[in-house]
Amino acid sequence: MQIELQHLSKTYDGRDWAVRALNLTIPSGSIFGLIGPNGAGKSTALRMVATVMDPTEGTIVYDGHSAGEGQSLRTTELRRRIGFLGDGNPLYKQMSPVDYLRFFGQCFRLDGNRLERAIERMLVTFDLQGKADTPAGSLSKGMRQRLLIARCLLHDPSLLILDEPADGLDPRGRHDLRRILGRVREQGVTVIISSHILRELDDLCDQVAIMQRGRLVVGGRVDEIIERYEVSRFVYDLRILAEVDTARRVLARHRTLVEREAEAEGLPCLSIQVQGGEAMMAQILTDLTAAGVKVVTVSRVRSRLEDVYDRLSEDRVN
Amino acid sequence: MNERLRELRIACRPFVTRALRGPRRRRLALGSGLLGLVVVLMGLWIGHSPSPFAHDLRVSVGMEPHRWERQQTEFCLLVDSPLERDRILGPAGAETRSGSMDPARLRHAQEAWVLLDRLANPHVLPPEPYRPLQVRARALRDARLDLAPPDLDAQRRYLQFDWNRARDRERLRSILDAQLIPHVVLYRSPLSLADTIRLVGMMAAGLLVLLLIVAAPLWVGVRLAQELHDNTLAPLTGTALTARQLVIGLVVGPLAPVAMVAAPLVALVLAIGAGVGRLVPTLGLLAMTLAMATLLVGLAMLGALAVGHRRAPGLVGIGLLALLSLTALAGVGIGLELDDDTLGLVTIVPGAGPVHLLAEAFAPVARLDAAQARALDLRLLLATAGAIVLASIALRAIERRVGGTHRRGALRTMEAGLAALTLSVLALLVPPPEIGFGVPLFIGLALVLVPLQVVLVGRIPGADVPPCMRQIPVVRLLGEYLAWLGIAVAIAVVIAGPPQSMHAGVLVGLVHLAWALSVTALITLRGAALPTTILTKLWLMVGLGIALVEYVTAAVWCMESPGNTLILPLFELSPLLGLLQVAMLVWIPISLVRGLTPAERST
Repeated sequence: MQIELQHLSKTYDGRDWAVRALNLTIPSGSIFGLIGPNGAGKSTALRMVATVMDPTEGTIVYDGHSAGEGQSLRTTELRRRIGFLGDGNPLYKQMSPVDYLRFFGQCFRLDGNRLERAIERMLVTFDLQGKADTPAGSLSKGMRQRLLIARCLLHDPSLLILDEPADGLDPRGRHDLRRILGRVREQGVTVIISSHILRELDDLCDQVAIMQRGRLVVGGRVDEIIERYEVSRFVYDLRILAEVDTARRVLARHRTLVEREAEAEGLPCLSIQVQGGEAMMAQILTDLTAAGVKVVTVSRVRSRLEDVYDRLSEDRVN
Repeated sequence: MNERLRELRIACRPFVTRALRGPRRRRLALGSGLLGLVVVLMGLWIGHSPSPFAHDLRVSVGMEPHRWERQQTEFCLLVDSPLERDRILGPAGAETRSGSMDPARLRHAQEAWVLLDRLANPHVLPPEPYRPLQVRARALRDARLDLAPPDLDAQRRYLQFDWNRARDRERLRSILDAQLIPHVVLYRSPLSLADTIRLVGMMAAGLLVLLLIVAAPLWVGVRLAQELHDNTLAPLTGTALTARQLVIGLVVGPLAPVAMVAAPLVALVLAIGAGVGRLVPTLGLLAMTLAMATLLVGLAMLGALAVGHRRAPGLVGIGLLALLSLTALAGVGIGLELDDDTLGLVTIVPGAGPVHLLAEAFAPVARLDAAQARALDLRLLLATAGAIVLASIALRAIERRVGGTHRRGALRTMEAGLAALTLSVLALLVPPPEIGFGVPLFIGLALVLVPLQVVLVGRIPGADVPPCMRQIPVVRLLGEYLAWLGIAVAIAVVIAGPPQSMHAGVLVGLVHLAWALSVTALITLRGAALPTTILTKLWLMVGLGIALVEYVTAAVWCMESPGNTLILPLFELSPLLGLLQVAMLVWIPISLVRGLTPAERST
């Protein structure tokens, strides 16, 4: 399902805008990441896309159709194609995972064998078979989160919206989530996901949008964004045998910024940011060698989404 | 039709499955069967047991007279055991001489002698058919002068006898037949098997009424409050269920266990009602109880929606339980003792009608004449129809609130008008129509004002529109509100006839009334449509107090012709208070309208 957000805006109090003039196109079958600090408007935007909240301004177009009162697409029909995990979605503590999934499956109008097969599939996929009849209140936080995600996928939606799904998951759980989302993508499902943990989204998302204070700061393909924001930013890891002070003096002469000093495999390692591109790095290497610094390895550090986000945040703060 | 049923099934299935999941269905089935059995056994025991507790219960439901009353009418002494009977009768058997009679028996005989003495008096002239009774009484009195009590004059003072009352004549006959010697009778329940079965039916029906008008709304309200408090309703609004289906599910789900518990009781009530030949009142009882239960469920849901986000479900439950229990108690009190003055209350006290029909079905007592009975039947019918109309309107409002589609108000214009019309009819039928136009109008208006404010709140544009962007169409809403009140006045004219007399003071009263009603509406709009600070709340309370004073002033000016009463009554207390009242009368509406105007709000 392809989603277009057109000038989407939302205010709760009529003064401050939780989301302001958001324009995005989310291609069908892609995984789209929404990034931003707390209060950036991610959850509000996702709720509007999930049709559980009306925008104050703007429209959302699903596969070329607007939904809602007087629109070409009925909201309930659209909701049958959406799986939405909201922020802080609670469970019924007395219900077991099987009962919970059956309840929501029936709310999505699944019945009979189809529902029972879907429940079984979800229990297997999310590794909940052993706890199928345990009350949800007794499950660990990670298991509860898995159950909530399972509920969203139960009815085979063509649009999956996950607001902070990795919240509460341990590293194994996060790995499983990535695996599951990868599988979901293979089925052609469009996934919109928000997260604070940017490394989760870095190589998972096809596209991302970074939001701050309700506005879109940057959006597009992940590699394009990284490329765009590291054009003037050359960072190298420099591993040397010794002579760290000499190396620092040489680097200072070339106005190079030492971002980090650490140790890698028993040797000093400097992360440096070079002002001037690859030609400047070649010159620095020559000068280091001339000054007697024995360079073991030098490798360029590719920027990650997290770096781009940090940089944008710094800009915003500054 | 099939499509509608299918949609209904889709709406109910998840919630009913959830409510009856796992072993719950089996436990509930077992529990409800046991409850039915307990009701039958309890009914049989109460019907047949001679214990004081069972006797008191039979007396309280009007199936047996008090023991003292029976002792009077049958001229006997009721004892609880053969041992006690033997003790009273003495070793020689039935001793009849006053000197050796048991004191209790002697006292009873002496009381009877005093009665005979009074009736035997030559100045007492009974109606012609009862003269032979007087002759017999005179003869027996003279024959048993030994039974004359020493404090004869004192005892005479407490004597009550009416020749025209059947019960008194029956008592006299019993005394004469027993020759002034009271029988000593071992007390047993006077109920026949048929009476006992009616008692079982009454108990089952009583439990059913309580279950439906207290437990069902309470459970539905608490469950909704729980969903709101735990934020579990939000994921449900994102499913494939429409808002209407969701509301139906939220009603039917919690009601499923209640229905399982009620099922054997319903079967019992219907079977006994048909068995004792009272099927029509039994069906009326079930229909009215269901209608009232639906209305109370709707109101409980509205209450839960209003406070469920802010208050814990336990608190909501306690509040609902208190209100529903009060309603049920009032219903029992009014319904069991309906008379000419109170029959109108069945239209506004939800429990009164079902309780009256319950008594009518299983222990009928004739308290009303034919015309009053017809008036009561009309009110019961209107109350049932009104409850169904109001319940369906309430559920529509809830549907729009849950679905977030109340941008133009939770109620549409026609729905609000229909609700106002229904409420007005029900409220104006409370006072007896014979008392004229004015009093019923003012009592009816006072009764209908609070529910009309709820209807007005339903007309306020809502959804998640920010308060400062919210447009409150004050003029339009006030217009609608005054139109509803116009309907109420028209209904009062239909019910009680036009005003009997008009005087110039009515105009002054109408001005006061218009002010009071308009300001009440403005206060409702301001309080419900926009956030309020503590100061605003205080100001609204002050406004409400002044509106109450104005309402009473209006009633006084309209119904009487107050010769020397001032137009503004506070002037009578003090000129300063009078001036304050004038200032309030001017400033309160202005401040309220300013508060509801967006331009004023943003400044």
